[in-house]
Amino acid sequence: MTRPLPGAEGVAVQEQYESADQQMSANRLGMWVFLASEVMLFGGFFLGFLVYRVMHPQGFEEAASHTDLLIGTVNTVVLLTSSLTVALAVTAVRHGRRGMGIGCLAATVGLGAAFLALKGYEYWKEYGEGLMPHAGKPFPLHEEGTMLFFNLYFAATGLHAAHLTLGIVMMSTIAVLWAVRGTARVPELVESGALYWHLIDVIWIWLYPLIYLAGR
Amino acid sequence: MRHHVRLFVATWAVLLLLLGGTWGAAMLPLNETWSVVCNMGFAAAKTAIVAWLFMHLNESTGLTRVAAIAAIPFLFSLGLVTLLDVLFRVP
Repeated sequence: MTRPLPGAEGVAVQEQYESADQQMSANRLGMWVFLASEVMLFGGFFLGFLVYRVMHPQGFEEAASHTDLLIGTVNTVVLLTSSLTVALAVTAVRHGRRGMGIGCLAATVGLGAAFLALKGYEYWKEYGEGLMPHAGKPFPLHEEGTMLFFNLYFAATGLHAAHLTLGIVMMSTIAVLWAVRGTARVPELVESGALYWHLIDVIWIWLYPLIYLAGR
Repeated sequence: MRHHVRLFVATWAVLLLLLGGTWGAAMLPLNETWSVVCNMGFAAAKTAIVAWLFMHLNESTGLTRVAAIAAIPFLFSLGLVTLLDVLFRVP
């Protein structure tokens, strides 16, 4: 490691590492390997959307036009902003700015919760319109592929929401740890947690056009 | 630190602009293939920006960068072989 790694300054070096640089580098590498596995997981969904769109273009376009573009777009803005706040939290932890860092983490959690609230409202609306397959109401669309689209939609966004919920729990825990217990492992926790949060955002960046923009 | 804050806020603004571009391109009357290509292109641009700047790949080691893009060739192979099957099916 010839140049010092940014973010390695405040790190408490554990005994198996020779330097803070090596420790931060190992943290990042390990985190990215995990994120690559998550990309493969969601990649399966993306491929499903693409393949079925090729096989049932009219059905997918009709089904996609029944999604709520406004909520989808607002949710994308919410997640992009939460990526900003979590990146600012990492900047804060690197400069030892506790107040700013905890505030940014709180903002991140708040924005994540706002996303979930909007998603929940959207699901409730779709349930009301009968677009939730097998939820007890007759499915209103009859073109081939429309029910398949909504199956994929609920599965993919449901899995994304589950990941986001875990992210919210994790970032809240890190914020609380930072507030009450001091800063021994906090810099690494914030950096690794932020990487996970950004991935949740990146996954939504791909889900948004696949779900909401097909055939607009 | 102010430099980083400004950089991240500027990155966020660019991401929102790209989101506007994504939405705008979707409103254009493109044929289906071009529509998909456009959507994916904007998504790829946003992802690259988030990964390089927000996720600190610009200051990470080469090995970390390799790990970051490692899933892409696998997904690409998966996608290519699947689409080769689907696109050339005889009805």
